[in-house]
Amino acid sequence: MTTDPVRSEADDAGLTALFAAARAAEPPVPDALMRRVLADAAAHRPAMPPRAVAPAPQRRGWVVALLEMLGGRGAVAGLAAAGLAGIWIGFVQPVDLGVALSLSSAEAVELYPADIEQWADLVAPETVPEG
Amino acid sequence: MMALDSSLAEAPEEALLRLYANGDSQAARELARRFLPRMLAYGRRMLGDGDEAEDVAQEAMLRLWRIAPEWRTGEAQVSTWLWRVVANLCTDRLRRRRGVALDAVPEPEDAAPSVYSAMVEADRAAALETALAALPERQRQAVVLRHLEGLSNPQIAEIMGIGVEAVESLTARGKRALAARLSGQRETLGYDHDD
Repeated sequence: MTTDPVRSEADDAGLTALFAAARAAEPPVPDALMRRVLADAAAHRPAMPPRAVAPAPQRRGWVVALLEMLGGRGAVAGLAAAGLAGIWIGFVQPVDLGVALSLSSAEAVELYPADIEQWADLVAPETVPEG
Repeated sequence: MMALDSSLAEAPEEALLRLYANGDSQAARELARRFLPRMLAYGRRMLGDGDEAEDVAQEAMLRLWRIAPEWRTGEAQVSTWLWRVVANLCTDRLRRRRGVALDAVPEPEDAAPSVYSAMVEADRAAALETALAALPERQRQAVVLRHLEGLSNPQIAEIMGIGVEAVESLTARGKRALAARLSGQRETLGYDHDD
């Protein structure tokens, strides 16, 4: 084992290149494995809770209702991403909304209304019952 | 559907897990897309066996699906939790292998043959994988998590259940051992480092 600093640096650079090569050479996930994993997910996926929706029953009305509850889109613009996740959590489960809305994340992230619209598109179709 | 997939690709892992727990199958697909390749690669490197690696990767994801309804927001990172699960699954399998052997023989540090000639003739990546496989388990684990999975030392410390300094010591020793294995043949043959 060498303690030569020049040699060690060369070793380190060489290793870095080999690590990169090893990562690049990773074979893809076999289709059969992915199918098994997704089958497990489907088998364990909880049924949607009956009270998944809060105020408005229309397709996107409940998201608008949430935004208005929080003081409009302008007020929501300063929410942290983690806090936003917390809103969805509080919203789709039957917990006290006051608890769900107490955002604990310290990081402030600028959110444009478009981001929230994006999330609305994600969550609303799954959690709003038909009709 | 495409827009849905690309949006989910930016979603935080905790939000995805919560979506899944509320019945969202697309969230499960995104979680699998994100984590399964890493679990599989890790399993392959730690166990040296593709079938076993698939088993531990599938088992780790299964435990994620099972815990999703009980996941408590903000207590832990989903990825760290998952890494701990797969790391422990691999450790258990390796322990069972050693248990089957007659004695608890410590893994060889210097006895493995040099892979220099392999490096000359074959793929560089293959040379590294061979050298990795020859490392003692804990060094291999630390090096893989740090330099192949890109995790931070504090995160690795949490996964392995040791201190950060211990992680740094393991990765340093592991890398020295790798470098020695990958260049050892040159010394044996009497070559200097610059040709």
